[in-house]
Amino acid sequence: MLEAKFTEAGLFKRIIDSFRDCVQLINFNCSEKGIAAQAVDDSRVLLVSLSINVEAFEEFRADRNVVLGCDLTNLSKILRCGNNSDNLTLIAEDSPDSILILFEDTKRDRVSEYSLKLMEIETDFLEISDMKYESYITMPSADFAKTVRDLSQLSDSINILVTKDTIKFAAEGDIGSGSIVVKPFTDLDHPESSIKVTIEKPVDLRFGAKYLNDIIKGSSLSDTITIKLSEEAPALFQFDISSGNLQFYLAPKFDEEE
Amino acid sequence: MTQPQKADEKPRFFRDEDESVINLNESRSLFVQDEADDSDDGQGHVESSSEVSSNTSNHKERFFESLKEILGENMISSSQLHTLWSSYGLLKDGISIAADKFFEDKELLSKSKTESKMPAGDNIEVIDLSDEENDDELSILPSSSQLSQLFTNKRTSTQAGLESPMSSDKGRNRWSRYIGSIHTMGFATRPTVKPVPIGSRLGFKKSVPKDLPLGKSLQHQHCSHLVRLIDTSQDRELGRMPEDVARILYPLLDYSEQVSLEPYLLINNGKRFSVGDNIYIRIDCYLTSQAFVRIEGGSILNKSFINDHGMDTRQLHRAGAIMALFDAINIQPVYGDTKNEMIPNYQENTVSSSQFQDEALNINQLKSFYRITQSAASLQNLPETTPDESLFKLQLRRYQKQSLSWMLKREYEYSHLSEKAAEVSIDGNSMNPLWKKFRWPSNSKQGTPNHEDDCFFYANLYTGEFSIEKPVIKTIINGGILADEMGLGKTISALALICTASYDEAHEKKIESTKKPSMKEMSSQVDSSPLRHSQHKHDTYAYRTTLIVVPMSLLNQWQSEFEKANKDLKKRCEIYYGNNIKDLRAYVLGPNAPSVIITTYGIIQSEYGRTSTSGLFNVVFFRIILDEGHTIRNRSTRTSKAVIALRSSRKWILTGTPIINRLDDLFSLVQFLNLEPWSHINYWKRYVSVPFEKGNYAQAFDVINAVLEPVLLRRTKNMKDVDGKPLVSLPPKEVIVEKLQLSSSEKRVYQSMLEDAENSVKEGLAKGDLLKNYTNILVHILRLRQVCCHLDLLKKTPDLGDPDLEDLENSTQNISSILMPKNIKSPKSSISQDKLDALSANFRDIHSASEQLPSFECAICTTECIEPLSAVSITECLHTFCEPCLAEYIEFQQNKKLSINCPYCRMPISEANVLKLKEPIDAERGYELISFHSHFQSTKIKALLRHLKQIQETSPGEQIIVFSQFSSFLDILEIELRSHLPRDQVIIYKFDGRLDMKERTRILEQFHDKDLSCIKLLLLSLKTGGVGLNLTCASRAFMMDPWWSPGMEDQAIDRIHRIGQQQTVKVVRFIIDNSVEEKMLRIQERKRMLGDIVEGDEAERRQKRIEEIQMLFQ
Repeated sequence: MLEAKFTEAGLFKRIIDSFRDCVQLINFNCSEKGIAAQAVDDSRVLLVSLSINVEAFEEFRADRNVVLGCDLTNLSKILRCGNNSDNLTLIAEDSPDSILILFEDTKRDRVSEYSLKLMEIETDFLEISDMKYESYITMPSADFAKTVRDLSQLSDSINILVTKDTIKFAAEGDIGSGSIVVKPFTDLDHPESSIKVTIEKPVDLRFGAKYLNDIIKGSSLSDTITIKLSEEAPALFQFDISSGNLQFYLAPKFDEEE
Repeated sequence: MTQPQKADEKPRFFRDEDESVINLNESRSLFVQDEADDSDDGQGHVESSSEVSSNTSNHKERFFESLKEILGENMISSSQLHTLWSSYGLLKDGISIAADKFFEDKELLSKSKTESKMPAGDNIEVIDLSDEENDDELSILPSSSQLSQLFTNKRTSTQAGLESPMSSDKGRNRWSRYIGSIHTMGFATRPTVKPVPIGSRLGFKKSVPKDLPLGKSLQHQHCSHLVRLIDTSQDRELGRMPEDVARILYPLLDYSEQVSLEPYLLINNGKRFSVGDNIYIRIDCYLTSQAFVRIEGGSILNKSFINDHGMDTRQLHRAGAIMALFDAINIQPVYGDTKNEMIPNYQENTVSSSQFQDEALNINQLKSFYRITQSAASLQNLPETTPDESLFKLQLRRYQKQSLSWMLKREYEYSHLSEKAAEVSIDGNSMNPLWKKFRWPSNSKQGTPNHEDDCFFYANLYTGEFSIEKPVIKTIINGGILADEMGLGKTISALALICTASYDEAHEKKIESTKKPSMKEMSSQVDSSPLRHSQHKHDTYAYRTTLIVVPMSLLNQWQSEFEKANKDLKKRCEIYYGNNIKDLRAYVLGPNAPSVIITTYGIIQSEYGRTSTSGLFNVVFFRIILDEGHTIRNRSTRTSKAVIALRSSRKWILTGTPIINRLDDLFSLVQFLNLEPWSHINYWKRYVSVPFEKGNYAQAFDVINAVLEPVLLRRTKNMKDVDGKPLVSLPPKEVIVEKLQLSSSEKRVYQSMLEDAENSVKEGLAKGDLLKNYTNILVHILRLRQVCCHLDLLKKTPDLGDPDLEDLENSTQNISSILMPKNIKSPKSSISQDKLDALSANFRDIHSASEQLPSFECAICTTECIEPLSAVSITECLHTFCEPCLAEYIEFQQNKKLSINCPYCRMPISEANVLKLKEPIDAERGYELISFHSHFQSTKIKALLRHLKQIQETSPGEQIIVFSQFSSFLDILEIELRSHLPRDQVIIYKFDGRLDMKERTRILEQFHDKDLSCIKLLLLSLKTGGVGLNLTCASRAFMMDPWWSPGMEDQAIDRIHRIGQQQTVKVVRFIIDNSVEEKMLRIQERKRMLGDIVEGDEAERRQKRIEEIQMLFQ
């Protein structure tokens, strides 16, 4: 028996919306720790990993581990039926073939109940071990989103170059080239708009603009984004929610010349 | 009911019902309860019903019990149970049908509420027996639970032993007690796996929205999604509560320690709940012993709470919740305490009246307020104390003796009380008005309380506090308010008190015994005064002196009253006024301290704030008496602040009208008396002003009543004493309104003024800024009123201190032109001053023969000696006529359109040029002539003269008072009356605000002396002489002009209509017909109806003013 109640339906809606464009099918693994989900996009370049801890819920109860295989397009159709301010409760049996989604209006006595058929999705759940990265960037998610949107107009790949005191985003394409340089700084009044850089080794990585464009959809979840880069491993883009996070692992593009 | 099989089940909510039904069937043998559920089930388990039918009586018992479980014991009477049993008992799902039936039938429900107060004894027995049979689980309860079961619902302990506050808290000697139930219907927000059994103990869970801080107003917050009904057995949410109930429950869930809420499922249709299904529940509410634990500092004297503008949000929050709960469970406070016998009636009165006419406090409410405070009962009970004859010369009336007893008791001077009086103790402690008494509701399963005391508890719904003991307010002050109606002899009562207990005996003893300054308290009062060092305090304690504060005009009256009353020559009375005592402090602390010092409010105000070491504020008096104590009603005035800053160990207020305009008038009095805690403005505001403004009159009055009851004594003239006789038998009072017609010339002026005024009001109304021009309009009205009195007043307007507007000046200029009849060609100016002088000279020549008392002959009626001289009219040709004769002649000629000629010499004359004699300024110059119209006599003066002459003829030696509010009118009256009335027969005195103290005393003394040979006339200004004076020597009064508020006039009339008056009081009020005065009368009537007290808020008052103005110009 699973019962997971969000104080605001809007949160769950935003979470789903932030990755439903890059993956279609996903398994939500519900355990007593919360809800976790993982999926890889069709090209197997981008890995989405979601974890919502128990604390993020108003109420959470999972008697057993339950796997909810959902088609995100359909799930988001149902989520659109509720108001952002509604209470949202997910209810499922221990081995369900459908999930019950309850919206409760907080202003009126209005309860809407939807059930979504579940599907069997065969994927492996990857245990991602903590990797060692060479550069860590924390910056406002909106800044990052704008940077990516701007540069992706020029080229289908964007370089991220991190040196000791500079982050440089650059794109070079047929119509021309562009680059955006950001310097780390600390804003004491608004810590969320600070830009922090920690590097062990300067990195220069190139990513597909298409994937970055998918990633920045998570900006609605959090004011900041944490980017961890390494020459050896897929880059990690992470958005924190109140208790839990949404992570995107993206493999860098390598120039064929090298 | 806990389900033992729960663990074995695999709850899967999309499964068939059958599975859960089977589970229930298995449990049936263990629990009688489940049989009911079972029979609810429509699946047709025949074997269960056949099994039951084998033992019908047993079934009946179970039916009853189940039904009671569903509906709550005290909701259903035995007769109803039997009815339901006979209709549905043998049906398969009879219980649920019966319960449904019961629920749907509102009439039955309401009937059952009244019946349920007397649950049939049989039923209780049956239930108890069956409970004990079933309660195998009860063994977890200690057998010694008998006592605690008395306090708790037994069913609670058996069914949900874990949740029961009793069982879990028993070790700490806690208890909870049933106060009522809420029946409500929530709806399911979760599908359940299987049916929830009927009677299941459910629970509540509260979710705190993250953005709502605790205590924030829930006004606009919806609660229904925040309060969840949970199935405690599975700890799973079931549903939510309707908004109205949730609103009550939500805050209460924070206080589960104090108020325990136990919801039970009432109805189950045998199926599991789906989302949206209705859940009928009953919420049993209990107060736990925790609720009765006094919050530290939570008592009404909590200073921080008061200073904090009374806004301890948490406490407020809790109080609101509890009030709402009490409302919901419909538990009503009980009265019937003998002491507060009057309150309920009174409450009903005010409640009903405030319901029906939501307009502010009307006169009836004021009356009912006074009715309470004057507490007729106390009159019967109060013993009498006769003052020691060696000390007090006057004879007291019975009720005055009673008030002496009361005052002595309020001062704790028991030694002076008569023996009988000393026995009857005055209960100075009244129940705190914020608290209400409640009866514990009976709960059939709960034992009947052993003691009578056990039946009640007390709750303060404003703070949410509870108490088992009766909360009392202790009045620790020495003193109070003597609020007898005017003329009942408050002064005498106060003097009797002073003479009886003139100094602080305890203090004197202390001095004698120790000869050292005592560090101990002299009285609580002194302690609370802002003295830091008791050493210093001792030095300043004038323990032999009573300070009496009076309005200036009463200064001497008090002194003479004291002289009259006091027999003990050692007692002296000093007036402290105008620097006559240089070092007051040394004087009252010295060996020669006077017993009484009389001073005025003005002196106190002027000394206040001055740095002095020898004034009033450097002494702690033995006693302070405020006469006309309502003087300090406005607490923001300097006078009030000064008076409140005076220090003494005993404080008294004498006033006939404790409330003048609004309830807050009382606050200053309370503050002066230092009546804790009400003397804190925030406290007062919170419990009196604010409720009153919100229209919650019953509450405000309730509070005031309880505040004042112990410290206020009020008797009215109409009250009967112990023997049923009226307290005071005053001679009757006749008030005649005499309507007068303005003379034609006055009317002309009046009309023109009226037009002006109307235009300006219309303009104001149209623009909507009527009140901005309020002064302007007031001036218009003032002018109209002056015209009604005397035209000359218009010229003197600036003297009245009113804002002199320019156009007023202008219009004054115009009066003379208005005065002139339009059809007359020759204006008044045709006789110039020069000509007038010449004529005067001629006139003197003609009549020089008769020097001193010239006698004039009228050429028309041939009267030889025209009397009085003012009636002499003189034509331009210097022929003399009686005024009426000449007027008649002129009118006749005018009507016939004939030319007006002198009847004597046929010289053409004109009406405008008729002359009059003017009083000689000095005898030598002889008579002077003046124009008839410039010396014009007002209608009112004429009427007054008529009356006076009549009195002069019928009863010479009469003393008469003439009231007017215009002191300039008094001046005119003085001149006019002097000239028209023989000097040797009529003596005229004038008393107005311009006189200083000595003159006032002299005039009053002279007026007092009766002289049979002549009439004494006192011209009294309404504002100066309206208050306090005792003029019972006169029995006739004339009110020359009306005042806005009837109370003011009543006060004035009461100067002569009071104790000591022997004769019938005759009052004539002159009112000009069809004028602004008549309309003022109407406004007076209206004010009498509504009471001046009303004046709720500013907007309302404005509206009222506009209405009044409109009324004037209708």
